[in-house]
Amino acid sequence: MSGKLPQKKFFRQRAHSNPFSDHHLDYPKSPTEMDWSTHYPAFVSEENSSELSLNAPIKQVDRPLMKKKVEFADLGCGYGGLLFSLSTLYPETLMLGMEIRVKVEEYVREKIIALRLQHPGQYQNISIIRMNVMKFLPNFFEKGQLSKMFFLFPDPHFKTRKHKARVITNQLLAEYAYVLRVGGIIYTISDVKDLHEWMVKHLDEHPLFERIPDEEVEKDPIIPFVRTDTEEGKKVERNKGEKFLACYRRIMNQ
Amino acid sequence: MAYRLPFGKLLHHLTRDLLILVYGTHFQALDTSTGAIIASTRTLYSDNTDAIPQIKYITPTTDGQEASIRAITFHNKIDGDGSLLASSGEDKLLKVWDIKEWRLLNTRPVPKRVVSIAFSEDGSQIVTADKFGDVYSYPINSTESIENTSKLLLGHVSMVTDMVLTPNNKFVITADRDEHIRVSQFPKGYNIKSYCFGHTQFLSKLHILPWDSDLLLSAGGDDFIALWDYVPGRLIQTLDIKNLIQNQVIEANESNIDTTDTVPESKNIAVMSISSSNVMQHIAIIIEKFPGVLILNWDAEQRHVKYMQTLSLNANPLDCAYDLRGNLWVSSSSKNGGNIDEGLITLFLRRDNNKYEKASTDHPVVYQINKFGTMKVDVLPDLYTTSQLRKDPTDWREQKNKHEDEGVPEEASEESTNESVSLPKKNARPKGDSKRKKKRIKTE
Repeated sequence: MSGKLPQKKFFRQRAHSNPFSDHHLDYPKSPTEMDWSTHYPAFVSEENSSELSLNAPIKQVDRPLMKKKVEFADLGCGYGGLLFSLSTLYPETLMLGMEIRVKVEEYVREKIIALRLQHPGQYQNISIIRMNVMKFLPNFFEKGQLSKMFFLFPDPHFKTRKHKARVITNQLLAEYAYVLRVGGIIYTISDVKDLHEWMVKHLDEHPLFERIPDEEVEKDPIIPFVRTDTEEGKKVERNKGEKFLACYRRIMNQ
Repeated sequence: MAYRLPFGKLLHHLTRDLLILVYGTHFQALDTSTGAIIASTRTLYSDNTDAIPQIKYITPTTDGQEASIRAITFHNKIDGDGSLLASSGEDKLLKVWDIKEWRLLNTRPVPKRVVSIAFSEDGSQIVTADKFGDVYSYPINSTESIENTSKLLLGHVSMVTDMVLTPNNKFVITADRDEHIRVSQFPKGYNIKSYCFGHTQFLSKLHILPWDSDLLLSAGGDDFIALWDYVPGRLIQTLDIKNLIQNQVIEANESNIDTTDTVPESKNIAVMSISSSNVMQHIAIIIEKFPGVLILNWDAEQRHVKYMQTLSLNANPLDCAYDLRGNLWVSSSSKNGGNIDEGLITLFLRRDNNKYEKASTDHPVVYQINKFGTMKVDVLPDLYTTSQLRKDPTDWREQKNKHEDEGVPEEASEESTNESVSLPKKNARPKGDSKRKKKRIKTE
């Protein structure tokens, strides 16, 4: 492996995917069965993990213990622009991108490998999985594991009939609230006003989330990257389009 | 050739001697202490040789099988006499019945086909889970239009296959085709308490143990059934049932019984039904196309289920239910595809020492229902739909290769890995959604 960066033009794929169909995906039976060591080899712990599975009724495969757990998840990460920016900004935080499109996932994976070779010791904290997050998010993360979730320029699914295919719905927010810890933040951004309003409406209605006021949002050091560092974000920039941002905090169940 | 439509679903009341037997779009009510048919939504079956018993006919009495009942439940009050029954079917109507006067109380449309229904303990709400993965609640008595009264409690992106409300009504538990069991607060379904992780195939049945209501049994396309402490989502036990039935297939072969058309052809199993009896703390399990009922008993000390015995049948069972005495009622499709003269209901009488005894076909308690139950049809519907929930095990890469060989555009093949045949051509208008959705429902 030369460490040569992959070229995007060889990894193009149409922007839509049906979240309801049976994709052939590789996911763990539960978060405890997930092997993160191949994703973050620099974060594998030296301690032995075998004593952990003593009480389990099904014999579990020994997983290498990790020093850290994934805390940031970029759901529908696309070409991974945000991950690459945040990786060096928070080098000690594990971040995972999830993307359903095969070729796009391959691109990000190859780019991570290349960057790790080019910059030894860096980019060890980011990884990517090809996944349908609308179905299998709880298979990867325990209750309250995540501190930040990103939904950047998601598929608008314009037709009313397809609204359940949107990544922010009443139903799915329950799953996001489950994996996000109290105090954790959901970042949403879209150039489609209609979708932005939809996301705001559903997050506003959800009792486990509260909107973070704009002035507070602007102080968040991550926000500039959320605005500009994704493929879609750059495209909107080029076309001088508008971007609509909304961030929400996970609050306690009343 | 005429067939008698088998009873696809059995449901016994928690405190009364009352069994509901569902066939197609109709149901009949049986007194399980006397064997008398009490009520029916359709005229009784008769071959004109016997006098038809006098029963209460419940309107509507329209015929037709397009709208088969798929979900039915009683309002079982723990300390009293629930008098409501709710049903829903392919017609996407939710019906509430009064079982004291045997009449239809109300009917309302629901957005999608319902797979499971539950009453809240106080009887004020009906909770439904549908094939689109959503769980709604409805007030029982409503004069307002549906939009104003239904409330979305929670939803899965995957197809929900079963749903139960816990007896204390603190949680609603949902199971889906993508191996998940989700425990959500009730009625605040937006607050997920836990997941029960461990299944590797679709789920089809959830069953809370009535004698230890913190515990849940779950089953589906896996080789095992699982026992959970569902509030923390902790797996207590798995019991291999595939092994159990395979051993019996071998025994049957050795004793020269012809089992060729009844043994599941594939290596995979699918659990159709779980029922339990408080009387002896027994659990009965029905597996698709396996001509027997597995009986498990309960080890209270270890909090484990244990295999006890298999009750053998001459035909494939479809559903089962325990009555208040601990007798087990089993409905089956007869061996030669619904021959008119064969019994539809087999009764296993509870005997001492945990034993069961198959009642003879002229036993008074089963005589009437076998004689006058259900109706005559020309074509039998597909009675075995559980195993259709299984996902295509072909790896997507192989499917992709297959598509490439056939010259199907790659990007389309990635979107719908399971539907290689009907893929839209590149640049063609994607008719995907409606078509796919229909297809999805068909295979449910």
